[in-house]
Amino acid sequence: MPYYISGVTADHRDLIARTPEEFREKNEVDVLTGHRVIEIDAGNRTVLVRDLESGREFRDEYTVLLLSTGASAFVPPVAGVDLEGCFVLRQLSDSISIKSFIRDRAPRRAVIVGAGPVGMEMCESFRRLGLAVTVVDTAVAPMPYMDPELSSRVLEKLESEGVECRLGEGLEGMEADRNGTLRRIETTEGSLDCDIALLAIGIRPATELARSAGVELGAREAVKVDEGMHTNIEGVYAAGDCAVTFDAITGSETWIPLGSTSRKQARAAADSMFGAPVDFPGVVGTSIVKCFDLTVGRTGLDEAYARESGFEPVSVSFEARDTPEYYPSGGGMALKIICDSPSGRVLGAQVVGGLASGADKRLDVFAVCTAAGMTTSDLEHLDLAYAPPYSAAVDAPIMAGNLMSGKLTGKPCRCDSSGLE
Amino acid sequence: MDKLIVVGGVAAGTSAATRARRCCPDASITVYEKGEFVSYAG
Repeated sequence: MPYYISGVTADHRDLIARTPEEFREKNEVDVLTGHRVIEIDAGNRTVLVRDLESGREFRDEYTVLLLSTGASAFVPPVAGVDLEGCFVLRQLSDSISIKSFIRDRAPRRAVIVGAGPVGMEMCESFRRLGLAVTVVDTAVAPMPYMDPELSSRVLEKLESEGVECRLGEGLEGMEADRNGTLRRIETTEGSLDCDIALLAIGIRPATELARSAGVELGAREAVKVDEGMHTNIEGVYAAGDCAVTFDAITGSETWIPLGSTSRKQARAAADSMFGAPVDFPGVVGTSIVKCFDLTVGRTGLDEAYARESGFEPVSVSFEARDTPEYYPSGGGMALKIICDSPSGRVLGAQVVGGLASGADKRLDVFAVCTAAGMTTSDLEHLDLAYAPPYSAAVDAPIMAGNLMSGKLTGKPCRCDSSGLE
Repeated sequence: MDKLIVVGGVAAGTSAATRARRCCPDASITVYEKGEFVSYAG
């Protein structure tokens, strides 16, 4: 959606994979938009549905019910968040509203509250549209789920792209002009004039319906499901952003809402209902975001959470090129890898790199190694694709293994990407 | 006959509905979505 707002994706319809008509034709699935399920009677296996246009209500019977109610943008309880000009970005209709507002009102100054992934994407989109952008967050660094040595690079990027960063500041309220349109936001440190504001503070699972039906909730108040996506109520399943998932490393229940996970959970739910059930093994928490021309991503545990989970984390941070010195580079990258000591098990990694550096490729290598429970020794011996246009002879994940093994064995290694100590 | 009702049709709901159709050709499958759009990328 940020790319539709900025114009990279021309039409909002391009974001739609299939329309209700296509679902009927291709899948023999009836899709009714503008219809809200307002009540579940789990005892009689019926739902009460309201047609939002006509107001008509009717009951429908099920043998199997799937809750895929998603998540909603968190709107803080401060004054003025309902003003014209203040937006969230969660549903497709939100992005259409933002785009229309920009077209009709030509705002010049944008404030983004929240320096997480949505905030980062929208910094770029607003700048691309020529707006002055200020990002406000109570955290002391952008991308708070990255460790400081990497998030500092994101901060440098934002500043070099002309984004004003007001970190360590919280939103206190929003004020309107005489016409009732947003004109200023108040923070804990002062005020800030603006013409448009985006609240990108986070999301919450949309579980009101589930709760009222007696469906048990779990981590972060998301719907509690098992590996087969069953809830506590017979015949009722849940999948996607409304449901919990499992941390595949620690085994603990968690809530990491991502579109990639949603599709896997959905498939697992359908297989549980009608097919050959396959347990959903959970996730290692891999995520990636583009911040201007930087790739920012992480997988697995960070050091603090690893320690909380009973591991003895050791980390190594280093910089790497994507290609050998003698071949043109798509951009360098900074990496951090976290392993358990003394087992050497890979617990997680974080990367920040140029958009064309292939930092995303290295992140995915670490994601697989983390999920597979591999060790630093496994990293050192990875058989990765090598030719000069694609990587160095000792590519970043292998170098990470070399450096980490050196640290764990107390025999520090100063190897480089050419394979020389 | 099996009757699947899906509440919410953005990502998980529509993926599950089409997978359910693959697994169970005879089921009746209905997706209710409160919004105007279904099956879209964030």
